[in-house]
Amino acid sequence: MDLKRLEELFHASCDLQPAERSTFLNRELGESPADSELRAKLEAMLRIADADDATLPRPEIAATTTSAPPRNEASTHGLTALDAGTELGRYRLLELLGEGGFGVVYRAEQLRPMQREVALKVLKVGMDTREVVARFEAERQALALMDHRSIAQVLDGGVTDGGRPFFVMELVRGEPVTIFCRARELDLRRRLELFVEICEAVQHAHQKGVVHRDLKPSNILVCDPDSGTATDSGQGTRSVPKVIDFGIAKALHGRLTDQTLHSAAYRMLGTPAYMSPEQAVGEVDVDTRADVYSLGVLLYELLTGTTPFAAGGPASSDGSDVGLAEIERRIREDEPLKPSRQAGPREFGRRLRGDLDWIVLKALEKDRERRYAAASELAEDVRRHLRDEPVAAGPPSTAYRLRKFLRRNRAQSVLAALLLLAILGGALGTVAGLLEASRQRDAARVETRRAEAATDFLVQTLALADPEVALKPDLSVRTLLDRAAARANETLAGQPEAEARVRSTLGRAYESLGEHKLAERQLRDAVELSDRHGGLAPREIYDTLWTLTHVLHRLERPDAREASHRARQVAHDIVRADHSELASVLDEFIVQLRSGVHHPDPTPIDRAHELLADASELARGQLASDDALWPLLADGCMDAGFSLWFTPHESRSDEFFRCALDIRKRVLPHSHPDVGESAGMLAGVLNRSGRAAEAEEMLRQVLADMEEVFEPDNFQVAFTRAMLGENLSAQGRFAEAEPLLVESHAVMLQITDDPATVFPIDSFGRLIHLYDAWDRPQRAEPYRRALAEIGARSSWPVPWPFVRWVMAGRYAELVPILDRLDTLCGGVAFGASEGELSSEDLAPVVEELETATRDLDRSDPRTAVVGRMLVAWSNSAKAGDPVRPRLAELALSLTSTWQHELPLDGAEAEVWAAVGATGEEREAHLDVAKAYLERLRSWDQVSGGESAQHLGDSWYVANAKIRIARGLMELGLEGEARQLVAAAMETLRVQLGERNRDFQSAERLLARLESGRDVTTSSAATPLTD
Amino acid sequence: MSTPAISSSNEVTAILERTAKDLKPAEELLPLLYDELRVLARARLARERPGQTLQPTALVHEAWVRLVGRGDPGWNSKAHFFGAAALAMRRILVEQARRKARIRHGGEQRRMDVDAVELEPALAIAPPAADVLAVDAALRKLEIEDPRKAKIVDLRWFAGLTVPETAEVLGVSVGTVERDWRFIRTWLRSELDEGSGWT
Repeated sequence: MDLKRLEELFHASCDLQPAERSTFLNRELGESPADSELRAKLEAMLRIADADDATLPRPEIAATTTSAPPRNEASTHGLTALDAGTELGRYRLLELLGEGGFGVVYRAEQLRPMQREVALKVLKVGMDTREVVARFEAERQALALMDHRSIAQVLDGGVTDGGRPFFVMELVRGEPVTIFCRARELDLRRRLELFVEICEAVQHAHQKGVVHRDLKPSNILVCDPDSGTATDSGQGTRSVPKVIDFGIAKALHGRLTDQTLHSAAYRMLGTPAYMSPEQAVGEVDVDTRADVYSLGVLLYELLTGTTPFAAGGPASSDGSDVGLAEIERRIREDEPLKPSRQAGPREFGRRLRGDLDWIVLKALEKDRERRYAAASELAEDVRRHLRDEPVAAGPPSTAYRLRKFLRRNRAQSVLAALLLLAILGGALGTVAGLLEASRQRDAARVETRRAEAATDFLVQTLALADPEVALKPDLSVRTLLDRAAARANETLAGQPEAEARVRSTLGRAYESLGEHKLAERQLRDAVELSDRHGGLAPREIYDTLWTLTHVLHRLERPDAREASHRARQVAHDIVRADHSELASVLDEFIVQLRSGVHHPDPTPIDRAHELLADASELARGQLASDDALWPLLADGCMDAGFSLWFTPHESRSDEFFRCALDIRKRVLPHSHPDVGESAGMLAGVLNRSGRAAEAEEMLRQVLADMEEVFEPDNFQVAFTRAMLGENLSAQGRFAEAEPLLVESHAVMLQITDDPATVFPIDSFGRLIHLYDAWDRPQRAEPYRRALAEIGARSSWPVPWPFVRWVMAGRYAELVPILDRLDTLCGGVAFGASEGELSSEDLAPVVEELETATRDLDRSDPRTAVVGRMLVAWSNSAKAGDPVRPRLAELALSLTSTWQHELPLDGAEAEVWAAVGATGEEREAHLDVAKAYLERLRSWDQVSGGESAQHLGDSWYVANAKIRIARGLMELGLEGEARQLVAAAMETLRVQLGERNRDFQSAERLLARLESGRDVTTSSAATPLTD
Repeated sequence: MSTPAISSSNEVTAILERTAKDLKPAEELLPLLYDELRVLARARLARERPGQTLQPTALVHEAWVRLVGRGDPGWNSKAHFFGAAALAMRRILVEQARRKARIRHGGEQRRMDVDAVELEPALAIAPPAADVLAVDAALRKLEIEDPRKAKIVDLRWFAGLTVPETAEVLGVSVGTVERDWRFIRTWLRSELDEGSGWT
């Protein structure tokens, strides 16, 4: 039988209704014998699954009756059958007092050599009698030395006839200390005094060389003087705590400790809540500090009514295996909540803040070196608190806080946290490297300064907050990064090399949090600093550039491709250093790819595929499986895949993404966002090229891996969920796709600060597409409307393919016309270069559009969207051609009710409309344009504006200014044009660099304006600026 | 009666350390764990009252704590250990079931005595012995068709690992294990219900 097929059909039909199920099976399965067999099996399995009857009986190993039963105590519960009156050596049992985890306690009478009442504890089965007794004998001398009013004396030990060990100790009649305190509602001071007494008793035992190892409330009894059974300690009416069972724990599991069976032993004994972390991991040499820890737990419970790791989890008193294992894990790994943050038994909460929090936390340190060295120190600190003196325990150190911080942020943002650590690690590593280089003093001095600067910077950042703030649970990686970034400005000025390194790391950390804009600034700074002053190693430069590439793509920056080319160059240089052959194959690969991207001829792409296969083979042969070059090669594959995006060869990018995915799965943890990225991109290609079914399993797998580590609000998780939704939608499984797309959409909007960027907009598109394909127009409607609003108001026009989705109903008629226009113009032009199209190319479409838009409702956002598209498209027309003013006029008409919100689009359209007009009309257009430009100028000076189109000093505004300047030049306003271009060039130089195409185009325009300056000295037109 | 020495913790950790590096299945572990688990089982049962049963899974975990469980030796070691322990436990159970079946059918009762010295009378399989054999038979077939799924049954059923533990040991996601387990336990159940010799 075909098991694979069976499995697929099982999963596919499991959640279907019976009726749907048979339809489904009829469709999937034929009449062949094999199919009939398959169907019979499947139906049998579905019956089981429906009845939820798939439990397998667990195998068991049973003791058969032939095993000799233990003699004597034949009761099924082992011990309860010991009757009053039974004599065990020189003791006679009087009555049963209680049954504990590992034994039964009787009140007994000692008969010889003197008569007195004692407590006698008989152990349950399962203990190795001989060894227990031997260990007890070994400990006995030490136990005999203990003499303290708060320690119950252990008197004797022996073996029952049935072969069970028993212990004899001073008879204490009291209640466990926690119950005692609760029942009498003792106040805070009295509880602390009682605790100090307990510490002193434990300290006494420690001085005699006895470690208790099993301190817990049931072993610390308090005798109430009122009960009439007070001890004869002469303390009158004061209640006295008594620690019992000293030496027993060691006798019981001395060997178990050696064998690391400690936790198993605790399972027999009961709760591990009081067990120290070193005991929880089965540490061999348990010392007095384990008792200090247990005392810490006791204090915690006395103050809060609960133990540090008991609350809030599945663990409970039922002692189930899961619960115990979970408690043990928490003891080893989790940080206890401060007592003051726990709900107290009464209103202790506030009074615990500060001293008592620190005291308890110090006693509960995981690392025993950091605890109180002795029970007496713990007692002394509590006494200091009672006397209102400063306590020895204090707020934790910076390193400690960093550790806790990283632990806390583990799930939320592992990468950012790791990167943060890398800043620290990197700086420290440099310091270590310095010692070696100290002979070359001059070089070393430079290095020292760099390392010291980076280290100081971090220490200050981490120490910035006062301890209370730093320990706040909601302090996030993000907050810390923000602080670091803000501080970098002042602290690292004048140390460009250190600054480059810190900024690179900050940028990468921001990127991993999905904070693209913040990342962009840091990464651009890092690259520029490194270009000018050095400071980054080639690999660091590469990582910085590659991350920058990503960020720029996400933010739709025009120079993303340049960053990626540079990254590629650096990468190839790094590869070339050790693997020249591989590097040259990769070079050739890039050449083929670049030459083939925009041409319909598939040959270069075929060749690129072959070269990639060659490169893979070479890499497999030459690189170790953990070679640091692998991630770099994977990035290269991603880059290759991206470069085919939206080109005629898009459907062939799958090979590249698949190659990247394979490598990344091998060298990265499966939950790594980069794995998700590769899978998401691969799925995108397959979804769009009719191969959605191939991608589903892969997406589900990747998603499951990521969801284990990341919260649902992680960008990459949301993106991968969206891709799965798209995938199911492409497979026609709309109902399954809907929740995925709706949820991931909400996350996208929540984590992106600008909804008018590619990911949120794409997400709108996916939802609209889903409902269209599903024929649910009402559900698509709100998304359409929202997307139209975004398109009408966004900072810059959303490219046509993304807003195309909003054009339903009346507007659907426009789609074919606008599609044609988009194709003619080669997409929206955000650049500054002059266009090449003339009336000959565009006039027929424009005319058709003029007719089709004549009676559109001007207040509908979709009308404005079309108008804005026209402004953007018009950049593709030649400056001197009449079609450009014509498009501008049409755009102004369509955006008439929206223009006040869009001064940049408005200024551009008005200027071009002026070019096409004459006389008063031209002056009127110019006046409005002037007003818009004035508004923009004032926005440049003050940050924050009242319009959605406030862009500050961005490259987009700069490019628009250059385009406007071209219009002004047409109008003969060279002076004004020159001003605009000069200002814009400065922005472009800083933001995009001098090699950028737009910058160079602006440079040429400026040259033309300068050269024409002398010729056109007397312009008749009104100056635009004062 | 001399008890076979319980394999030393050092020996096991040494093997784990060695195998963790070259990624080889820890075949050397199998005999060690086989012995360890049998000795443990007998030791525990000797102390139990008659009729008490032991979960093999508890034994496997106890063996882990005993032999390795200091800190976290890394998932590779864990994978090897539980992989081997699951197989060892499965082998023990299958052998017990076989012998029990043979004893029930009269057969070679006398000749079993040598073995019985070691394991009988304390160790015997509780009623679903037939299931153990049927599961084993189904698993052997499954191992050929889909080794990962067979491994999941080993780890879940014979070694008693939880779903997240199984996922960790196999280096796959929890979702995958859940999905596989949902299918495979239903499939196994249907195999057992049929009582059909799937072999």
